[in-house]
Amino acid sequence: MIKTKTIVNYFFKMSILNTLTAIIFLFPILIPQLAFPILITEWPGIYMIIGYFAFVISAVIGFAIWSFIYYLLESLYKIENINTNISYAQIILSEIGALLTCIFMYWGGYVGAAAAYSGMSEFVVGTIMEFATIPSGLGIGLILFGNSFGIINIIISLRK
Amino acid sequence: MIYPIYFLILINPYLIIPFVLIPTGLLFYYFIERKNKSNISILWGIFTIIFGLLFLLLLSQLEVQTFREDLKIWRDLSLIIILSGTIYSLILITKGMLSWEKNKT
Repeated sequence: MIKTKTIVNYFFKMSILNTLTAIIFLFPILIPQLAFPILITEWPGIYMIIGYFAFVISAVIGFAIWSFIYYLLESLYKIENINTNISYAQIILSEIGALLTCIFMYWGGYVGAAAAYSGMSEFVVGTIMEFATIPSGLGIGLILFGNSFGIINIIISLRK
Repeated sequence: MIYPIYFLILINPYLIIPFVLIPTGLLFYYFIERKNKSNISILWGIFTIIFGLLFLLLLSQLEVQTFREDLKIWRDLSLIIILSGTIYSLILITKGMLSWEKNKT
């Protein structure tokens, strides 16, 4: 068992760290040679937007909300200790999942948008982007399992 | 849902072991581990097996739908996940059974 306050602290720190990461992910937009404003108008550009917002929603806002939920668990229900392994598993799976999803959707979207802009057909663009599908799917799965662990952790804590 | 699982076992017959280990592990958790209050739980092994099986099942579906030929590395990764979960669960079950037998005698 671990103190709920420690987990609240971890989630809060991870949320701030992920905000910094989200800012770093935005930096390439400022480099003119990468031509982001043009590429974002091509259809694979939506992958970059979804990837980025998936990271912001699950890793920045999500971690802050989980920190708040664990804080409420302690202040409302007076639960001072929660399961260590499930809490760590939730943090690790959610973080790895969010990073995998964001990096590969961003990367795949950029490569696909560049190919579409250069005039390649939809089929070729799809084939070029194929490398990113499985890692981003795996990332989404990890986020899903990570958040499920959080819910299981809360149910276990409330039942005790 | 049943047919893809059936074909998955048909193509990879050794997957029968992790499939059998899931209910066995749950029974082991319910009857033996829960009473011991151990820190190392078999439920992590079961989770790893289910995660790996789900990953492999989705990969095989993707292979059928898209005819992609570059999935071998991902299939190997999912099999490694299943194998590690199986070995972890088997070690815990064997250890639990041995200590249970010792306590009995």
